[in-house]
Amino acid sequence: MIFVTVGSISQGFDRLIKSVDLIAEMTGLDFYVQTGRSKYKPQYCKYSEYVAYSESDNLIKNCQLLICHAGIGTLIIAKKYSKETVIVPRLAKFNEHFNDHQSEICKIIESENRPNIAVVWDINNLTGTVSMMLSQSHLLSTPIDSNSGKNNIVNEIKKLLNTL
Amino acid sequence: MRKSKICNDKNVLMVCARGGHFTELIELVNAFNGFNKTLVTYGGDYVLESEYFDKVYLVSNPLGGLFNMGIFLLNTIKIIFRTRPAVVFSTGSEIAIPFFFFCKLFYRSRLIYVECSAQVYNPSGTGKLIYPITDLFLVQWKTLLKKYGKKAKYVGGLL
Repeated sequence: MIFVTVGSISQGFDRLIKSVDLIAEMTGLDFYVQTGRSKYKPQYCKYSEYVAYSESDNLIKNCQLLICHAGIGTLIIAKKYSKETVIVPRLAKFNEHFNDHQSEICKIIESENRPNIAVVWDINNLTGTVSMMLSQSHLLSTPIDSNSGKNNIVNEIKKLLNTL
Repeated sequence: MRKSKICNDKNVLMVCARGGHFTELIELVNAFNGFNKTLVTYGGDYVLESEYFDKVYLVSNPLGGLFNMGIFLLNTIKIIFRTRPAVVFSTGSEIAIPFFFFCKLFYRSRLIYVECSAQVYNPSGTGKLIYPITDLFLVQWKTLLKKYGKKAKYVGGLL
């Protein structure tokens, strides 16, 4: 199953949902789409508007490929499971977000050359990127992330708590 | 020395907006094991899970006119008086502002803020406002360090 998620923000992301639906129609692949407030409703995919936090965690953990907006919530969970991920940033010019911070996130992630992450800047390239990721996914699998950043933050917090 | 006798040493108040802020908070929630964890976040048509917390308060968004702001501030004060937190923790965003200021004022709570990893090059408005009164201020990208003062720390990021 390919999990598509666009997060919990109040704007829709029709550009991505339409494109995914087209891929589902062409390929017959099994998609599950979390649409949020998008107006377009997929015809060739299972979908729901929102999923609970733990369900989303589970879907990301178990999907074959993740396609998502550049929301940090989704990306953090994807990192936790070292999931093959195709990211499509929401753009302010299409009224998909209030600013272009998702592009900033994508640029800094791209600059780190993580092997299992691809960023799609032009939605017309989504089909190509998805098929590339699917065909290579067995080569890309990386060990579960050690989450050193997370551990360091937790330790900093604990240091302060110990002074109470 | 800074500790106030009237706050409850075992209570931590965790405040965040929805979406990525919430995920970041959940990722870090285990740092507070051993404390009574009270969450404050926005209500709405999301699915909320409270298994990580001892108590959950849902508040309405203050950004919708004076009336909404008034209701929000009254709720804020009520939650703070009921919780009397020794520590306030937030991963953003603006929902944290009144909790940080009032808790510092009333209970001298220790304030911990982790700037959202969506802030790569520029500080958030919330971060800039609460930076001066925050006890532990962490950013998640090195690029952001030079935009804050000496107190800001970078030890790694969640992303």
